Amino acid sequence: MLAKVARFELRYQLTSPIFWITALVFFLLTITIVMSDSIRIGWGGYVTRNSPFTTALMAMIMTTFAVFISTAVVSNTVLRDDETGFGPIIRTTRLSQFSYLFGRFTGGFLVSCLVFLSVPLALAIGAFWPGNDPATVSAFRLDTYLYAYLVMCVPTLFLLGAAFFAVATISRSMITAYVVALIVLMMYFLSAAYLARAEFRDIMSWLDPFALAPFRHATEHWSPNDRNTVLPPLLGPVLKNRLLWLTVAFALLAWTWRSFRQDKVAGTKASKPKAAEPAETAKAHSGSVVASLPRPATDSRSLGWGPLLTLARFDALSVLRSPAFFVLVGIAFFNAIVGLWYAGDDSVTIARPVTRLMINVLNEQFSLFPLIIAAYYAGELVWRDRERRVHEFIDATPAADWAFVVPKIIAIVIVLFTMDIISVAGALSVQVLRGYTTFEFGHYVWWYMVPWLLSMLLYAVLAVFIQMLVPNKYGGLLVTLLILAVQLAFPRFGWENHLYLYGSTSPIPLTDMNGQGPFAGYAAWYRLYWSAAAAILAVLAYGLWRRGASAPLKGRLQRLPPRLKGTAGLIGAAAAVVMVVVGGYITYNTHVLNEWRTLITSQEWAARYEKELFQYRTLVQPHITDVKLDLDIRADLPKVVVRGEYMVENKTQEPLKEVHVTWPRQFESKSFLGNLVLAELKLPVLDVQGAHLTREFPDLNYRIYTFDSPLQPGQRAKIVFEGVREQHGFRNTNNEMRVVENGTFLDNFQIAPVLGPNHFLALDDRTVRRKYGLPDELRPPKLGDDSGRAYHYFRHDSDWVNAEITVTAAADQVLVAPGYKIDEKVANGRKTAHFKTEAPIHNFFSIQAARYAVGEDQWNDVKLDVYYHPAHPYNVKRMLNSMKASLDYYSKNFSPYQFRQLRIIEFPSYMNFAQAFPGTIPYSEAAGFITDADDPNRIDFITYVTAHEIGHQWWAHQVIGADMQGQTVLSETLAQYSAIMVMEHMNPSQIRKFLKSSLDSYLRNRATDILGEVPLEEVEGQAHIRYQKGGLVMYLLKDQMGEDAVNRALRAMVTDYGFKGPPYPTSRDLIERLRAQASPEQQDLITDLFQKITVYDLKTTGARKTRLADGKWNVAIDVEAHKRYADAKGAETEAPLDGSFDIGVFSAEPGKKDFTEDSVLSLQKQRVRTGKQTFNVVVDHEPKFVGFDPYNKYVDRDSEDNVLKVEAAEAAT
Amino acid sequence: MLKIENLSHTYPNGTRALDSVNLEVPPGMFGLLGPNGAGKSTLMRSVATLQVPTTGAIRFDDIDVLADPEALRRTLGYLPQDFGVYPRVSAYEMLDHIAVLKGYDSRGERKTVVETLLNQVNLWPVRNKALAGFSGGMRQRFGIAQALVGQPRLVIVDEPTAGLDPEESNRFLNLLSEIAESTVVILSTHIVQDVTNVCHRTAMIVGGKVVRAGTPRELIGELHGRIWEKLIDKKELEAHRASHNVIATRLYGGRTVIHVLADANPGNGFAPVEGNLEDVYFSTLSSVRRAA
Repeated sequence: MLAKVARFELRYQLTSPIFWITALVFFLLTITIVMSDSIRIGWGGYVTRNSPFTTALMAMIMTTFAVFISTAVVSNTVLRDDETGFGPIIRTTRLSQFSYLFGRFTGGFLVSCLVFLSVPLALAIGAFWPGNDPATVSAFRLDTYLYAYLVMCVPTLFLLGAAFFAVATISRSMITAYVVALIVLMMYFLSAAYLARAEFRDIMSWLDPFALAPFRHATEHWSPNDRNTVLPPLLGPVLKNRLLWLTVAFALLAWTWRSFRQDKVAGTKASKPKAAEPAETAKAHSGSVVASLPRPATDSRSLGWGPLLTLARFDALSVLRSPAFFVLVGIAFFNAIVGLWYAGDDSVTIARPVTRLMINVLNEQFSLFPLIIAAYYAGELVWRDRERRVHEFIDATPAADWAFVVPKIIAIVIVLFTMDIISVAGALSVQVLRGYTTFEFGHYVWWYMVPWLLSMLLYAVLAVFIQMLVPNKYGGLLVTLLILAVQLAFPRFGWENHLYLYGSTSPIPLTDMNGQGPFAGYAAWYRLYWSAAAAILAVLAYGLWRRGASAPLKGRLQRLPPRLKGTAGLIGAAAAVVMVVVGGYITYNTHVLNEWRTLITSQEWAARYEKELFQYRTLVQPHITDVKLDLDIRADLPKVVVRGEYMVENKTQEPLKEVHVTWPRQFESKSFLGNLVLAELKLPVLDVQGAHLTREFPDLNYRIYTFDSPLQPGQRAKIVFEGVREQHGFRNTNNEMRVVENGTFLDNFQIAPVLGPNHFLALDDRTVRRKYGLPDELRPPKLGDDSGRAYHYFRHDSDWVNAEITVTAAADQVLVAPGYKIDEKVANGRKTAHFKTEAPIHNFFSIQAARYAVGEDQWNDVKLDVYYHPAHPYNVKRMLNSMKASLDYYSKNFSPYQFRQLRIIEFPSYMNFAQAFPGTIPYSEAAGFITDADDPNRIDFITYVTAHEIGHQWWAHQVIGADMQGQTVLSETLAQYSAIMVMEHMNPSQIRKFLKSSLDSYLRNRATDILGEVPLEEVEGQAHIRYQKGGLVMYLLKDQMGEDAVNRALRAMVTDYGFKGPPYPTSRDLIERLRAQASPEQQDLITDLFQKITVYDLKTTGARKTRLADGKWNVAIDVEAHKRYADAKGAETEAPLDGSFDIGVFSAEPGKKDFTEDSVLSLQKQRVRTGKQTFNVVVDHEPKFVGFDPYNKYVDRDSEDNVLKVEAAEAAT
Repeated sequence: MLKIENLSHTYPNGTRALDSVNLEVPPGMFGLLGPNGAGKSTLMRSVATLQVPTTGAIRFDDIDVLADPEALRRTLGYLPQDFGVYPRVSAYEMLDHIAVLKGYDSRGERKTVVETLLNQVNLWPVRNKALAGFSGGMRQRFGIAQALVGQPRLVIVDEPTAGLDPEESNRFLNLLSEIAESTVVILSTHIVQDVTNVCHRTAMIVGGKVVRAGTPRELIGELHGRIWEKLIDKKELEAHRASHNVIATRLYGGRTVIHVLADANPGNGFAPVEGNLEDVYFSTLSSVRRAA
């Protein structure tokens, strides 16, 4: 019987359009994602787009949207009978309740599975669609899809079906089911952002109903090879999670069954008691009473403001009184509070809750949900009269049509304004609770509340308008959300003009230093444009308003023209004029005054640059020896004029005929720091002494000058230029953020030309490169190819240079540039400062100007300065301390510090990094100045970052790597090591945590490496190798060889290569010096760490303790060890292991809270070989834990199994 | 005076709901009778400006309703056949809302209107209760209150007494007849007794056409001496249908009373009976159906 009911349900639903439409929507959504090269979920680099991992991940992500499938096809299978009134008929048949309830559920569940079949289908078809880059697709494997569908998705569908079936059947309300679905989804997406943090990983592995968290957990350290070949195992956290949630699903079904059986007795939902009948009063009524009433103002064709507000109030109250509104706002609010609480934090640092961060969080976290609320209530208000069946008598009143439209829009504004206030109240309370009491109400109002309200209103009007076109409330909501989703996806495909992204504006980055800058002013034009658009939509909504019994769109469209005659039409026409004029003005700014450039056009251009100009990469050029720059900064325009002079010299043994000059062009690129933007530089003057222009590549900003007579070896020539960096009007995105009123931050790559092609412009993503017909890889010279040693990796046109920099800016600015300030004067409200180097430095400078406060200190004869925004004094002291500690350690262990000054200079949070220039360290306000580093249990990132950047004063500004493979080992890896050593000396307890986070980060990022992994000595752009793995490798070497031996090797690097020109050192030179300091047994370790990709598998398999006669304890520790070498894709081969490893015995678990120095009962190095072996250790106190490499010094894919709890004592033998 | 001329309406699915309807409705209560699906509601909605008929004209005094629906709305009170209420809104708030929509700009006037009408329909004691909790009768009284807001000169009530108990129904009709003295009130119904009781004039609409119109007295008069009644067993019914023009049957104490229409006494146990509007209605129906 149950099967028959299920079959009926299945047949019934297969004929319904919902089934086919939903399946189609899921199919299209999935195929778009899998075919897109810009939205890459789980693939890239060596990982193919149809790898088992990617397929499973994408299918699982789609299950989150399957919430809608389940609500649509499962939840209403029983409720439907109540709503149609057919329920009592069915319930009185002979059909058993069990068969009825679960037959329907089974049918609905099968339908949801059939709908979801569209996802694996789309994944398969999309991956093999002709035209996909073939290198991103691997051979078809049926099991990939079956596994993803049957094992990873169907159980989730079952859970979702059971859950929403339960909600709808028990609450007897589809609205409840929809609201719950929406809430679940929102909670999930929004909370996932915070709960993705490492500390919540275990709990989320249980809690995530879609099993994405345990899936990520289980596959966290997978290499590309694993992702391409292994079916995600149904083990460990994934299996546990599945079992838990399947149990929940069955429990929900059981609960539904129970409540259904009880309900049957009651029949239908008990209605509320009716209001008592008023007793018939004796008073006789007569018609004359009515006749004596005042007559309404029937002559006026429109209503006044008073009633307008009354109507708006009525509509607003209908929203504000609805319980669903409270639930929705509550969730949005709660979600915002969570976001606000963690504002600006990342996995390692905590930020102070400054207003800017609060507003950023609100703009991000408190926008989607309110937007959905706005769209939802727009639909509610539009359809309310019809749904409540009051429209017939309401529509028959003489009220003008706008009396229906306008109050509803005002009501939505009132509702939104309420939420606006609530969100700010939330932000303020978080600030108070976190002890931040600098309240900036003005910022809240102008930076957040007003723009937020306007954006929301724009969407509300759009939603109202769409409800006029779509003949169904939920359909209208769906279309609105679809438009929203499409808009979010558009920029990914290069369609990023804000003139067609409804309601969008040019971005307004907020900073403490520079406020909204000029960006709010630029955005105001877009706001005006979209407000006019919304006015048009509102007028059309008025024109298309449904009035009367049946109102098909066709009829309303026919009536539209006559209805728009008069005021409405005039308003619409005026708005259209505004829209056209403002749109024209914006286009004039974005396309005429400025060139239109996007990430995609930048990539096209970069491809052309490479094709035409990289042939000159190997051409030998004269080198720059002296640089003079004279900058005139006019932040108010914004405009920078730079007059400069290069002295170039032929440092070769041959005469040189040509000099090639290139300079910046507006350009956007992706990097590990996010999208980077380079602004256009115009070069009205460029003159090479004794040479003439022989070839020009106008659009590529590249010129070739030929010397009238070739430049002889040792001969010098002067290059004179004048550059203008200026923004006219405004751009769609990428407005000038480097030259601003308070916080100008430029480097010389941005304002001065470079000789020879700029190799930083090369595209590195293989898929992108292939798309533009470039060879797969453009890699630096291989190790051993000594041609690469002619250049260092900062730039090919300079070795060490003398620099003289003059900066002029507004008189209230503090000006900072490399070199010593030799002069500063103020004239005509302009300040001019003059800087000059005393010894050659890298041709790599920063120029900064802002209204700074200065924190000063002294280390030996070095003056220490921290230039900071006066509102950010928090960490100045900490930075100064780190500066002193770093200078101490480095000068003692490596070589003397080369300058008499060391400066840290804050810059606005438009960018988030710190960077080391000679004696000068620009430091983003977001990267440390507002960090709250007071918690001693956290890694002190300010000390670390500061020490790292100071490390570069040695490792980059004394010794610089050749521009070839392994180029950054000598800078980033050594700076990382230097910082770790400073931290270990200042606060040894933090090191273990730091290494653990480095290990996780390295292992996690291996999978998404777009180049393919290389050994450390060959590292190129990969941040996770040069920083994280580099730090781990150096620390392990220090642990094995001793600090002194490692530092001796580093000292030798400075002695041999410090401040020297070509040939520049490579990573091999470092390895050679390390080898010289290492013992013979350690040579293999150095090979494994630097020259191979080595992954260890270290595991404690058993531990038994025995009480000895003398009261001491013997612990037998069983360990298993393996060493494997990985290739570029992560495929591993076993190699014999023989090395020295920590074996520890502890009274508390390492890494846990109660673990202290005293918890270490024994920690000694033991020789360990491949395979299983047992060690016996005797300790004084009772051992609780043992560990094999307990502090995770080695790269171990599973670092959790190194430590094991000791079992209960055995009887003494 | 409401004048309907040649009004026809065809729905997009081809249903011809109104077929050249011509009607003149003077002030006073006007009863529109017809079976389910006869086109009554379509006619009501067309007059109430909620629906635009395919062809024809509707005039109310000097208002051309189709050309200027807003003008009619300013003087219209409409109680639809089936209506709902907003959740969480009290009777007072809702009536106040309607008063705003009907053009009572001033708060004071609105207060007077709303309070008077709530008293008039005897909902004053429950004015602050949520409408959603009202019984059918109370809801219907609220319905008439909202229709009366704004002193309408044309009041259209569509099936107002369906589902009301006799007492509530009486009270409701009394209220209507009170206002009908100077107002055009169109009462659409299929309960013939209501029309007999309160309407000055009536029209019968069947299959989208007006088949009879006049005062109830006139219509009943036409049947004078032509209605014959007989009490028979149920099994005899078919035989009687075959031999006589049976216009109505009803059960009485388990047996069947039949009315036949005949110019002379059919004999055979038939007795003469004074006709009522119901007989007019049924005879009209049966003649239309026979013709069809």
